[in-house]
Amino acid sequence: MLSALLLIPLIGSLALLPISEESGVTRMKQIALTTSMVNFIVSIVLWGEFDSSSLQYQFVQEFNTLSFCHLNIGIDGISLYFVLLTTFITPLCILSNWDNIKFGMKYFLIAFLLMETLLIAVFVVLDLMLFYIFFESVLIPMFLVVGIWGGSVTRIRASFLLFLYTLAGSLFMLLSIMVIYYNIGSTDFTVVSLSNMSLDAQKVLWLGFFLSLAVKSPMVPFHIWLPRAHAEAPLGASILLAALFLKLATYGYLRILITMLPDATSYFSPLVQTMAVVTLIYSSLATLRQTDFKALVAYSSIGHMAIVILGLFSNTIVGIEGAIALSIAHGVISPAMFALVGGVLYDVHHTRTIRYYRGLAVYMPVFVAMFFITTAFNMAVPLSLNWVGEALSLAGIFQKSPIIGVLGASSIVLSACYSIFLFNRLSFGAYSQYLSFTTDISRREFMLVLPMLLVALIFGIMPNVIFTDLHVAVTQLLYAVEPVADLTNIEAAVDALGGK
Amino acid sequence: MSAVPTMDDYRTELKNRENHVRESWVKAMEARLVREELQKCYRGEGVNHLQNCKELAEMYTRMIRENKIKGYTVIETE
Repeated sequence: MLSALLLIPLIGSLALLPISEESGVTRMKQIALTTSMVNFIVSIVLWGEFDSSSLQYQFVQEFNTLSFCHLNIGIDGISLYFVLLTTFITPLCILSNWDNIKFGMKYFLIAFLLMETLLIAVFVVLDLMLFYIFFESVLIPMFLVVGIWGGSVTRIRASFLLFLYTLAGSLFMLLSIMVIYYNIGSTDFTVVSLSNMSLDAQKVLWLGFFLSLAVKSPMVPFHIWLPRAHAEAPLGASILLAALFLKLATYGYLRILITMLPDATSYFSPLVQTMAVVTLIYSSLATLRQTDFKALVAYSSIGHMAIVILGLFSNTIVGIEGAIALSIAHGVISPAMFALVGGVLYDVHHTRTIRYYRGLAVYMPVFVAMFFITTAFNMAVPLSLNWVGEALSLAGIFQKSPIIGVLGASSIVLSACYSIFLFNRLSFGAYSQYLSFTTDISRREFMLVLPMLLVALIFGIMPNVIFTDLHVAVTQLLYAVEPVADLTNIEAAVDALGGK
Repeated sequence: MSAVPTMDDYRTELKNRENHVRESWVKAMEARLVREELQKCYRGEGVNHLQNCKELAEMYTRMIRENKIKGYTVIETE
């Protein structure tokens, strides 16, 4: 079944190739959308057949048994929801750029279907080397999409920043994988997690992986590429960046750092928590000063991902499950924000500058109503999955370190500040003199945003649907920290007993 | 375990991990069952609950302290 998930988008891409751009643009879009919808349905079947009580990888398929690049695929509770998020978001990406791509539609659609396959591959491969290969290969189509179909002349710079930042960071991941292969003789997830590495070795490897994942998350000071890439990318790419590219780092933290290098994770946790808090406060304050609404949503994403990282490094089941829930919630709500401001508004008015907008409630009441719900979910109000995830992440980190918990909780206030600022500025007051009179949100745009809001709402009311699948998989990430037995006291006790 | 682990060693280790996680969750669920019994006792006994539900209450307070979810990894620090 996992092979089908990987192959269906590729088959869709191949079906698009013979169609000519002049005659069959509508047909191409229908084929791409249908293909991604079929993949989503297959992933729902996979979800239905998933056994949440098993610790083993499920739906495993092995294609070769080489110790290096061991091509076997499978999923557990952690990867299941990232796969579902990928198959859920891809049709929405295709739908988001339905009318506004003026040239090269065929290659645009092929790039998105290819990215779907590569993203699913990252989440299902069970080998470090293959993880790295797919982790990096996703960059190529995204680099092309931002560079070719981006918003303005600065799109080239944005695409190079995206490419070079992540590639430079990932070099250290590759080196760490080489060291693991040299010492253990395999890059298979299970074999590496079973090997006993010394703390010193783990520290070096951990730093290599962390540098790569910190760029992808992104954490301050490695975050520069994200706001620029988000601002310049076409809507579909912005959605994919927010929903899935940032989640590659979340998945990497869970799958590599916490699972395979637990001693180093415990050692470096204070460093990561400090960096996450700095990222959270810095990005939230930077958000308040943005003039470009796509950059504003991008900075808010950085802030939310910092909370995810706090939850992940809390070493509590509450915190880690909350972090995964917040990842999923962010993966649907941040794209909804992009669809509303970067899609609906930008398509009509062709500017991303917040100061040009005012009083949209007069002519676009449905848009403003949807924007209000999305903004409320983005600042994590109760009944949304964002709230569940954020509350549990903060509860988890509070158990680990109350000071970090208090600093992390500042996000509740800061996210409300920038969310309300953006909503208020765009929606109310007299209608802006810079804007032409427009009609409200279209049916396509409505149907684009509605599923994302429904997911956040339904799982916000019933989060246990997610947590039930996560329990067993997350339990294996927890570690107990115990002091080394004090042998000097034992020796003293033996001496007291007369050396017996 | 020998110096170079065999496949059987790996299988045994994986089996032990799975058992550890399962046992951890069984204990957590036991605490949940005791809580449900305590709720029933509280409702049924009314004003006498302090006396008649004492054992269950003590058992539950002990369980929420001891029956926490634990992973199999133990990190030793100085």
